[in-house]
Amino acid sequence: MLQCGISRRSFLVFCTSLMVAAPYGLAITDKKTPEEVAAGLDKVLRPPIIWLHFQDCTGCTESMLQTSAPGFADLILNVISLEYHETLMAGSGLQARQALDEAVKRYAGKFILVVEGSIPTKDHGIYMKIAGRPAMDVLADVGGKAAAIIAIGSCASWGGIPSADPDPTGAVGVADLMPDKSIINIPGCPPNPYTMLGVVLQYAADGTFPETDEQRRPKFAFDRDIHEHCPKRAHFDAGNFVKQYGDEGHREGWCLYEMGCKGPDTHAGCSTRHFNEIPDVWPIGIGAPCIGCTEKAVAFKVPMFQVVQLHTIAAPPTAFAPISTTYSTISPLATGLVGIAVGAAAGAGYIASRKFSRAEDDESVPGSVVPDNKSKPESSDSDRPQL
Amino acid sequence: MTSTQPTSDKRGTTLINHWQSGVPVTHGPILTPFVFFLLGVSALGLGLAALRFFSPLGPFSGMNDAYAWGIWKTFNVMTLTALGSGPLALGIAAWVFNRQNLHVVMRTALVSGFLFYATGLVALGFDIGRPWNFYSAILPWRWNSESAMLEISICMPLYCFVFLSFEILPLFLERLYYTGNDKARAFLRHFSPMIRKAYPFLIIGAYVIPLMHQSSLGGLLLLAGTKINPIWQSPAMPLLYLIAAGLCGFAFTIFLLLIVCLRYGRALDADVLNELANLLSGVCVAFLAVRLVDLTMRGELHTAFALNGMSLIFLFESALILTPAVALRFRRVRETPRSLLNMAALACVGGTAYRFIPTSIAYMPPHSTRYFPSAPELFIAAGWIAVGMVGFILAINYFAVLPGEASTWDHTFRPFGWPHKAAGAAYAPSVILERGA
Repeated sequence: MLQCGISRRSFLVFCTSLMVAAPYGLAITDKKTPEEVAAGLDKVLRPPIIWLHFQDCTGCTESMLQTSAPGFADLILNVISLEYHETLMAGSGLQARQALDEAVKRYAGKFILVVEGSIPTKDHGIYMKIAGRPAMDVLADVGGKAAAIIAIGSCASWGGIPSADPDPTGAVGVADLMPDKSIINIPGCPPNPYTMLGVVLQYAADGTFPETDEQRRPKFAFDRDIHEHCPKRAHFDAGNFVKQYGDEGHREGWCLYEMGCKGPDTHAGCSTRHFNEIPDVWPIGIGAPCIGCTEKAVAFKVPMFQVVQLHTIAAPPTAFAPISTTYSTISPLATGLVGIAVGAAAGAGYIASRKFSRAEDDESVPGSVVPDNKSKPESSDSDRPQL
Repeated sequence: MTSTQPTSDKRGTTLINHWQSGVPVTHGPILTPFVFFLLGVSALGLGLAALRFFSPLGPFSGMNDAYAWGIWKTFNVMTLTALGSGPLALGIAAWVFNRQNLHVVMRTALVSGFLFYATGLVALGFDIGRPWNFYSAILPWRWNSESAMLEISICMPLYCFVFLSFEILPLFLERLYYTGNDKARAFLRHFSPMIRKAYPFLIIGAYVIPLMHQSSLGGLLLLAGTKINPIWQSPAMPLLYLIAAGLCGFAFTIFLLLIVCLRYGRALDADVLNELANLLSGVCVAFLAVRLVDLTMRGELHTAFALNGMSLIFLFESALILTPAVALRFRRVRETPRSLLNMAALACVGGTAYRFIPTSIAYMPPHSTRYFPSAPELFIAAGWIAVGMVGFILAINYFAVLPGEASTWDHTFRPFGWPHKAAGAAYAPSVILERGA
């Protein structure tokens, strides 16, 4: 290990930070002994990461900076080797350009490329240039040499806000340009930083990436929809819906479904992992409907306040009967009605019973084996159907 | 049963199930003042039922959070389907225990049972808190397999609208055959042998499925646990509910037969009534025996005879069943129409009381509240019953339902719609209707 330039101290610090990060989707938690951990760590040591910004708002980076377990400084100084990040690096201009070229050359085929922001494709990509080169060329150049690409945010995943109608720049995501590359999409606007941390730390630990769904999103964070674990689900089931922002239901924290919440259609972990490690800091928690930012077909495609169609559960109606807890009283009318009905039934039964005994003199009554048609009242022929 | 080919020459046989028999009512007006009264009650009930969808259940009905089951569930479904178990009871006796002469009155039981089930199930739709989700019941991937209610909610409509409907299908086909045009007749002549062949196999469902849901109704009440008075709450409740269904089924069929035959001046086969009464008394004895053994084994006999309020209700209910159980053992009682009617009525009241009491009177949730149905609730319940009665009166007038003497079988169906042209003379009774198999 010393030959690799790792002191005993730095190895211990590394191990400790990994243990701290273990709950966030690491695959090393089942390794019992330091030898096993070291064996796993042998594969990749401080994976080099190059972070490129394209058409973005830097919100994903801002989100990453808010982590505390491990802290961002710990992450970039001890766990990974951040080679290039335009927002965080001190250098600029030619210096920065050289740093990028050197890093790509030195770690060719080994580094992880993190892309933030969408890539303009219209008019040969002239709408965004870095050091005089269109973003498309930069991505093709750097991305081609990367071991894997992590597309962070909805913009890098499939276009995001820049691709919203009318889409002046022809913005697309990384996977649209390099479909054959090993790409992990972490959509969100911004995504939860711990999703990103989980992916990076798993790679740092044993060189693998988590299992993904058909949209290349890691399953550990995106396999359930918001609605499944929404803290306001009880209000949905009870039919308590906000009708207007600021109304009584809104202040009581009722369900935002009728305000256009996209929770039932959106696969993300926001309802269980809130942002900035502060409880209830996420859109629905602060009273704003979910806009479905982790879904390609929803956010920036469907109007923000349009009510979504429910597919997996029955849609509630637009108007619910209010839920009343008033206890019933026994009305004299109702008891009287029951009395009349019971009396009428008993009376009718008695009359029918008496008719039987009166008719017992005849031969025509039920029970007599011989039918006698003469004694029963013969109706006129006009009652018979005309045959 | 022998297979008889219905040909155009053998007018006397019923079309498909020749072992049954029926003669429609052909005399007298259909729309009597009594029918108008029933129509009025049902119109009022249905109007209020429609209103229920625009009003929350709470203020509209007497139900509350502690008593979530109103009389639509407890009376129209849980109690009246016991009265509607006539097809089950008679069918088991006729098909399984080979009492073949009971087939003669089967149609009356079938029609009344179908109407009790159908009106009860429709009434249930108005009782459900979220009726817009009702359609999920036909989507198996939405079933909650953990729910005890599932069995009933699937089983009851399946029985009523598939198996029972199939069992009464011959009524409609017969009417079509004898009043329809030549084309329909030719089609039915071709089609009915197939139905006749499938008939015994398909109606197996009509005798297996009710056994399931009639006992499940008692099983549902088991879940209520200590809310139900210990005199009624018992592990034997599913069995007792099933026996009570058979009890009510026999008793109500006797009662109904006597009433309609009195009303329409029909002569009844004394042997059939005698046999039914015999069976009824047997079922009553079986019910009381199970009840007694159950109370003894649970050690609740002292509660049952404590002579307090609940105990008196129990004793009254048991007396209502014990009286016919004993009285109908005597041949003289069985053969006197008046006493037979009285005993059948007592058994009906006793059996329905057993079905009704644990759901409401002996049902005491630990809250200081009470339940008594509100007036609109009662009107709706009465409205559905009136719908069923009107349905029965129309059915016996337009279809060959009521048992009749073979010599009276002349296919003189009342016309509905337009006066049709049928060769009346050709359908003069020529072949005596077969009785039994």
